Amino acid sequence: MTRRHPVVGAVAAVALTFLLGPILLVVGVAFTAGDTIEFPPRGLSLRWFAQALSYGPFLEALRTSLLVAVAGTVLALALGLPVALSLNRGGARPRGAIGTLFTLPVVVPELVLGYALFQTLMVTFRVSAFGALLAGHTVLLLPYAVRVTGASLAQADRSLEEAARGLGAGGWATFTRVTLPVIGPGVAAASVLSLVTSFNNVPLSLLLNGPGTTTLPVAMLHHVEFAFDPLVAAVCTLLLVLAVVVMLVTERLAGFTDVLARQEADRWRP
Amino acid sequence: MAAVVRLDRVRHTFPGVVALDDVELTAPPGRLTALLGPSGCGKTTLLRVVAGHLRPAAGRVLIDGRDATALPPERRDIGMVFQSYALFPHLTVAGNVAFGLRMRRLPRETVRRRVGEALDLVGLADQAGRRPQELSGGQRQRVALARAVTIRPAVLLLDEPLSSLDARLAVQMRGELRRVQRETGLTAILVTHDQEEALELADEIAILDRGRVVQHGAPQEVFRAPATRWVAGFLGYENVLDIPGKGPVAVRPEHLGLLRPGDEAPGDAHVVDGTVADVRFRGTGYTITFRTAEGRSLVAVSPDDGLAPGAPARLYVPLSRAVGLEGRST
Repeated sequence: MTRRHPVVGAVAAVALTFLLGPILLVVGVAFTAGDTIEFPPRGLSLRWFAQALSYGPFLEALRTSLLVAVAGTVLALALGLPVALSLNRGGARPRGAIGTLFTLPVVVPELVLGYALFQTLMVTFRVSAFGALLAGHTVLLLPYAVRVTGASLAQADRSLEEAARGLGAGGWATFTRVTLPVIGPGVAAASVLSLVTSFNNVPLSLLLNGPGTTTLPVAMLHHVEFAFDPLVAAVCTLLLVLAVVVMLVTERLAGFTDVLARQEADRWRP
Repeated sequence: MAAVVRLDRVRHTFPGVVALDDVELTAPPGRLTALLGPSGCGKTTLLRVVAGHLRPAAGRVLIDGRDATALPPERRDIGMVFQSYALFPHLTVAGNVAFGLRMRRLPRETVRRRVGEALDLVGLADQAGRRPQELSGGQRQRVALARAVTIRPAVLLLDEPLSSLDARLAVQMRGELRRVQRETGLTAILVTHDQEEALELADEIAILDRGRVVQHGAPQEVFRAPATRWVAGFLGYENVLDIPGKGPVAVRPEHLGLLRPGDEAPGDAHVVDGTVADVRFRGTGYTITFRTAEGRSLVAVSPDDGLAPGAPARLYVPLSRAVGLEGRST
């Protein structure tokens, strides 16, 4: 055991309380038997969970959220993987500028991106709200698709692909039978990251909101504006559980933290 | 089956470097040709050009007289063993060996039989179901070899195949490599920087320096009669000295003899006087550096260390071992 200074321990305790306290509070509130948000909860019950799982607007919003997250992820990968391939294997020039271009959505304020898409797609080109929302999320997810799969590609031994070609595999067979299986964990990590990012997104979803395109976070936001019941606390608790499950499963399948750490390291490299 | 590979004035440059400088080379059918040279001499670039992973700036690659310069790697019918082995990590040993056969859409039964034959050839039949990551370096090397020969290629390319193995295993694998090449009767091109490996394995050696083939011939011929001063130096003829009537000659350290006081030099030898400059232990003996009266530095090897720095010494050069450098280019 290394001995720590008591002040360090105290600061850590305060920080932990500050980070975890509010979350625990929300989880506690969700189990209340009462009708309002209060802590400690008035009696224990699962009624708000039952309520949340049968509340129409939330269920519809959940469906929209999942649809946008899955479709956005598929689109972002379909567009991002070829970009990552040409950046890492092909002759994409200038490499740095193109790489930066596909990282931009991370730094451009999402409100700006959302407003721009709203003006162009929905107002000018009369694209449906769902189309605009999907386009917005795809753009938002592109950096993850390009960077995370790119980090996997940069790590993979190029001679594997040369070996496949030499053994008679054409470009497509080499991609499907060698490249894709080898970078599989990277693709899985990019997918999870994209799904979570899209699912959690508020600014874009808020600006590109329209009839039938309300995502779950937006629906929750609307709900807390007018109601003081613990319904949203119950949804939050369910989302927390979901997040933990996703983390555990991905960690198990793909070594998520590993790929994520590499991607972070890669992003900050000049 | 065995094909002739001919390189016709192959030229390639990388920014600031001429990697291949109009290379002319023929690898005869069924024989093992070694491309030997220091790192950066262009030997790996040359191999990549033959394999089709690199399109040369100029010149032609002819495989059995057919111009293959523009063919993609998958249509060249070439088996290659990579320095890193490049085994597919998501496939088993059998899956790796079967890859090329499956790409050729051979019937399932044929694939199975030929994978079995290839694994038998390299003695890994009992490892068929394992993953490459579970194998030792030597086993991986054998899988890579089996994968390359099982497609019965026109040419087998070996890119420093033994350099990732530890020294003892590498020496052991030389025999294996030679046996597989002989049994399959494939035309093979081996890239190596290890002259001992090249001398032992190859039927022919081509020595590369700065993108040019500076000498090409049988191992004995290349070793005994280096064509240029550079080749002599590269092959370990470390000593250059002048012999009256013979001009400048190159001699290997192990061919320099040491004369004890009172010893007579053999008949056809040239004697040099000097002093001992340095003595270093090298396991089987000592490496001794001499400084001659004219100020040249000579290196000899001696089984014992009865010499101390500063001591006077006499060396002799058997004339039959001295390689004349007169008239040879640098």
